[in-house]
Amino acid sequence: MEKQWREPGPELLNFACVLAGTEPVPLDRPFNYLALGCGPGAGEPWPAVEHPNGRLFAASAGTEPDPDLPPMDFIVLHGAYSWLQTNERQQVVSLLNRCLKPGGVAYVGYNAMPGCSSILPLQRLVREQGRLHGGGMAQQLEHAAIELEQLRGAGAAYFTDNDTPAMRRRLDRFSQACLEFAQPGWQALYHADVARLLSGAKLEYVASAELWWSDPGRYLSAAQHALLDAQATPILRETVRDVLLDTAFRRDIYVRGARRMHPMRQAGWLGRCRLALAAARNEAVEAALPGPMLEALASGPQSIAALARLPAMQGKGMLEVARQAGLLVDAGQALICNQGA
Amino acid sequence: MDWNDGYVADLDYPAAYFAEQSPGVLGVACILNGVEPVPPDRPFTYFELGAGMGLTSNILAATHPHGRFYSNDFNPAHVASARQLAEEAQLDNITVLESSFADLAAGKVDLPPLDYITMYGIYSWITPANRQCLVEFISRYLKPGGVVYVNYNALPGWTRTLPLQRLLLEHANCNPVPRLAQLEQARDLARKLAEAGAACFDGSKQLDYRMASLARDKAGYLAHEYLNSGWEPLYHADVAGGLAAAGLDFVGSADLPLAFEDDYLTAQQQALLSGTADARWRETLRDYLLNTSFREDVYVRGARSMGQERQAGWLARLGLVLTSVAEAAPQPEVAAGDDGVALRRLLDALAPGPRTLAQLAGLLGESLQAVARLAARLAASDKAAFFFPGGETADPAPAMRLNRAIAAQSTFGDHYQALAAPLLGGALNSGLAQRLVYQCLAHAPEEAQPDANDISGRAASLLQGHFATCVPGSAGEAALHALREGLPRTVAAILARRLPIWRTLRML
Repeated sequence: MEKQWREPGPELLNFACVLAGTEPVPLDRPFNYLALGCGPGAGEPWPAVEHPNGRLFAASAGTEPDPDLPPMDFIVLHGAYSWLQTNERQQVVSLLNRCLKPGGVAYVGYNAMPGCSSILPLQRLVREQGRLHGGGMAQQLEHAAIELEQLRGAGAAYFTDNDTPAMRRRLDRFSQACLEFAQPGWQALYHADVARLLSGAKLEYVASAELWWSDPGRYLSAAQHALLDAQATPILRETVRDVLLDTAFRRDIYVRGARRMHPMRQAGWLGRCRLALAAARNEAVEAALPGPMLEALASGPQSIAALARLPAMQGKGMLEVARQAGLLVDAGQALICNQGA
Repeated sequence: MDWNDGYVADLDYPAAYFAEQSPGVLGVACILNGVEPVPPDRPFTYFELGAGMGLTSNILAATHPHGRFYSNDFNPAHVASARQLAEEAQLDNITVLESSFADLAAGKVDLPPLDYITMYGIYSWITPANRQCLVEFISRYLKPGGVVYVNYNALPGWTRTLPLQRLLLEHANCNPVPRLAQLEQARDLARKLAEAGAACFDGSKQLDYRMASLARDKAGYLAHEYLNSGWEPLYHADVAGGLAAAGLDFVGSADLPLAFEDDYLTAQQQALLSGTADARWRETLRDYLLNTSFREDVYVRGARSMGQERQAGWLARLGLVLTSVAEAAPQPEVAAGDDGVALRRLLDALAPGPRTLAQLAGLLGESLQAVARLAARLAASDKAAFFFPGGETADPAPAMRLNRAIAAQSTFGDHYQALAAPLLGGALNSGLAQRLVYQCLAHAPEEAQPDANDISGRAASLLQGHFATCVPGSAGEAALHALREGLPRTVAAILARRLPIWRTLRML
């Protein structure tokens, strides 16, 4: 849940693209980065993208964009695409089609199926309160909380049959976790549908901003990995991955005109990337992360090529070292701070 | 868009008879829920949408000579099958149409005002645009007081199973092989994912049930369930909201025992429902309480509530008749509490022959409502069936002609698995052995005493056509062998126990 708010900056988007073997956007010359706000919080300030070559633009999804917007290298949806109404999503596609440069990168985060399947009727229950009682989002949520307690108190089979992690996460912190359900357009989306719609803007799915996704061997059993690899069609491959993981939120990265990188160019690019420790670190999550890398970074930012020379990384290729570095980034323990292009 | 609008058109849906679509069951559903039914003994008009191979419509036409029937399907093979059956049975009160829902909605077909519009397995399997066409069709043709039957995959029950359908559909759409192979390969992938411990398969009861169905059920049904691009389980609130545009009021379920809330809702649950003012949401909350995955809704255009006295008058006149043989009607489950004894007493009271609910109330010393409740339970488990007064006197000849046509077709195939029953204004689902015996009896001299040995031998020879087309070594062939070997006993049992039911229901 919290993760959806980490909209990726240009370095992270590039890094994810290269991990997937796709050409990134060069950052050693001026580039444009558009943050497109969705849903509540669309107008809130968000961590500014700081880059000497970057110009940051902001717009609100679903409204007519400024006709003077220059062509963009990055367009990042701030907030969830799945909170927009259907016509607003179509407007986002039009904007992507018009404003994203060839080779440009788009980021789209959304509530996803199948992980959200168990909570769809919960969302309906919240939404229905608006029709029944009127009132704003806060009142809808209050009415929903009452009805929810009555149903659960009466042993409603919908809740006993759907005791899933996604459901527990929503019910445990109902008023915060379910506020988004009051969004008029709220929907959990299949990757297949998102990817098809975005293909209208010539976008191809490249990777997830969850960097750990780049290494299925880490999170899938051999049998699961074989089933994933058996899917030659990209949309089907992601559909199968989502069934395997029961994905409830997706953080998709698309490229307009993706170009494959030669593995040697990929390794060289990754090697030149520099990593730094994050200012605020969480000791609790560090146990599961590659310790030697964290120790090496404690003495200052390091290139991935330098990390690859650590004794603990002996015999590992640059891609594999970069994937492990990606785990530190996912966990918020490290940042990609400088990219050679 | 293709002519089929993404609807599976290249695999025939297995032909079955659905009693829920009959005027009788719809009338009983209205009465049990306190709403005026369409008077069943006067001339009426009836339209079935998406009628498939037309078994239900043909049976209803044959058993309601005073009704005027229309059935429609957009699949020409289905239409041809339905017409062939109607012609073989020489039914003059049914018209089989091959129209799109859009043409029907636009009034491009010359139709009279309709008393009944029914559809089975259509509404949540077609595109939203086609659903809108159906609403317009109903709005255009249904008479005030007319009845609609619509069933659909429902939410919240289907919610955890939605991704399974999507997985199968995506895989099939990416896989340019014939439909049957698409289905086989897609279900193979789903099975392997479940076996590999995919997180999506988390032990949900509904999902496990669907996975078992996927492993077991026939390809024709599965393709229609999972490979239609318009497929979308629906909330009752949305279905009822859509149909309200055609002036329809929700009456209740064609699953008759649902009229008796005490049997399946706690006092607390009933209080929750009765405390919900909005009728559509109240009915939807019932689905949250039960986690409903399939609904069988009955609607009336301008429903008129009946007082208790008038309802009692209707109940008193309803008939009840046994439809299952004594051996095949095991003791009702003990879990039903005291009902086990009461249901047994009711079955015993019906043994001598059909009775009205008023007669049964007298025999059992129970109230009409109590007898209606037990009768609904027997009907739901196919042990007995309701019938309206008049069923005893309707002309049985068309139904008998239809049964002969079905029985004759059964010597070549197993498409039509029911025989019409004039007393019921409906049919009994009937296995292959029963239909072959019917075929032998129908061609025997009227007064001849049926001889089990002779009929058994003739039925065995009628199986030749089936052996000729089954795949050697297949499960189907094994089943045929088992059927043939068991014929002497099966035929004797049919003659001793099933034949009297056929005669009571005026089927032969």
